[in-house]
Amino acid sequence: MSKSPIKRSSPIETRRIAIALGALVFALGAPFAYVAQRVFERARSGPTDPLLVVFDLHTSFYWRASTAAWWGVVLAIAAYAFAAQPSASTLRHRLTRTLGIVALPLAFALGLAMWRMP
Amino acid sequence: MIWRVLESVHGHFGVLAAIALLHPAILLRRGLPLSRGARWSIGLTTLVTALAFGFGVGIYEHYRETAKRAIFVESQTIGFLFETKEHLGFAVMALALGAGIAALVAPPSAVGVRRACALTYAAAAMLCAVVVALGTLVASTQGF
Repeated sequence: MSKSPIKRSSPIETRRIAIALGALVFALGAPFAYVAQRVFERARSGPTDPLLVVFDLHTSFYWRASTAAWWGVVLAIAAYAFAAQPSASTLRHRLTRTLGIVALPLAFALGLAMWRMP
Repeated sequence: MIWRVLESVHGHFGVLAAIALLHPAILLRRGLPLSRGARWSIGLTTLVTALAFGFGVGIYEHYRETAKRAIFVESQTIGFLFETKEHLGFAVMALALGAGIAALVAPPSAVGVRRACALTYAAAAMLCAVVVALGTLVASTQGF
């Protein structure tokens, strides 16, 4: 008997578990992406100057959060594609297709919005 | 006046979210299938957390224009603590949203997923308590 906490019995159940795992990956991935962006900003600009913080645009937080959420979605899609796949042979195809359908339009929309509302 | 009210509503939703996030963390800790009440609890917790975050985002621009400078003049430490609060607020929202979707979607057999959700909710509740504490400290220094 398997000791795995996840028992898979039907394709629908497997799909629901994969979506749930994707959501959990988003929960962890988005904050890590946010932290990565902050680390990059700090590495680029050096120690934080209070004057720069005061004059910082309010939109920088919005875009940082949006970009982190986008990375979270990308990671969630990858986790979903990995967990929902019964065989490894079609994993790459499913991953590419799902990323193309969801993540690319999201990235395009994000880029367009950043251009229009800097 | 309206910004002061919105700031207060944001703060109250934040306190409510910190408490509400504990409930699913306790409910899901054994990984048992969700009851109707547990589904309501998860849904409402996600909603309250989203409202707290949404109100914060909504008043952020006005805060930056009117209060941020005064906070940094009063104390740089408090000013930077607000920046920390802002970062942690995003983490709380992401954790609560991800755990909420995972818990609602997971089938009855996915015990491990619900246990992971409980841990995620516990982390979100802890971070939210920190956010509330920092928010209270900042608001007591300088509000709208």
